[in-house]
Amino acid sequence: MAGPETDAQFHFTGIKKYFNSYILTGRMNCVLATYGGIALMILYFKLRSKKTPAMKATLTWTSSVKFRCLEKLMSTHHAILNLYNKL
Amino acid sequence: MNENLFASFAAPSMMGLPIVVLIVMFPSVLFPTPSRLINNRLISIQQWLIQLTSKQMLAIHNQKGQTWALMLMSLILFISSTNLLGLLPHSFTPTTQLSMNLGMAIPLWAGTVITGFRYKTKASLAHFLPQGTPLPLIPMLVVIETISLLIQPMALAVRLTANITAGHLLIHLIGGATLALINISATTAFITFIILILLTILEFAVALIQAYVFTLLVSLYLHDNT
Repeated sequence: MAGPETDAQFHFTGIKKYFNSYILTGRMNCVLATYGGIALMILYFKLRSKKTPAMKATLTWTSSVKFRCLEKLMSTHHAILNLYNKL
Repeated sequence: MNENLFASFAAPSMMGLPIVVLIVMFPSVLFPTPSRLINNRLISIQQWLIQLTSKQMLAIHNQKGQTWALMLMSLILFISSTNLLGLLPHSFTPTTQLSMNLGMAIPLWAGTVITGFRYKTKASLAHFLPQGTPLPLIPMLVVIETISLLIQPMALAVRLTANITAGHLLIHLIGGATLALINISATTAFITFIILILLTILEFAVALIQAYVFTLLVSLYLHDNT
């Protein structure tokens, strides 16, 4: 069974001293590094922008105040035209 | 026939009121409390059985693990008595309900895991990576070990539910088949009846074994974390 008494037989140097699959500390660090890597990947994909530059430009225009005013004006114009045609 | 097959697993009610709580509490009535130094035969047998089970189950545990003795003994007594009472005809068995078994499995498993992380954080984390794993396999094995840990309470609950439910369904089906065959062929009905008797004996064993397996697994999870 792994434990502090069996860890003494292993002598690692460099990065292997902290990241290995033999001693308790090494195994713990590998596990934490794996979880950290998965968390970073999830964070990256969540924060990554899904829109292209052209879409971004269009969305910026469509969400602007000018565009909304123009849209309202056009819809009012269409409503007046329809009313006129009915009469 | 199809509706009747699953009617015994529906939550029971009497005059519109749910009585499932009474049914869950009922087995405790069957275990008398010892009130004297030397008790009567029934209580003495009960004490002897509990002592035998607890000695065998707690032998592997250290002092911290043995603080769970009352919990584990209550668990095995509750599940075994509930399973055995469920073998009575037309009775409701709470352990056929997945909700009930998840309600037992998840808190117990979580208790063992939290105990392990609290008192032996390094060893609990290191447990996710088997010793001697080759370097390229480390991330994959960590993920696999994490999934296997998270699946443990589900497996505990589903194992108990599936075993007891399947047994009851089989008894229901074979009993129905025996009745149906009486008018058709007495010999076949007799053979089916023998199968039913053997199945009932098996179900008695399964009732006790499943209670033991549930408690033993909780005990093993505790042993890994203490």
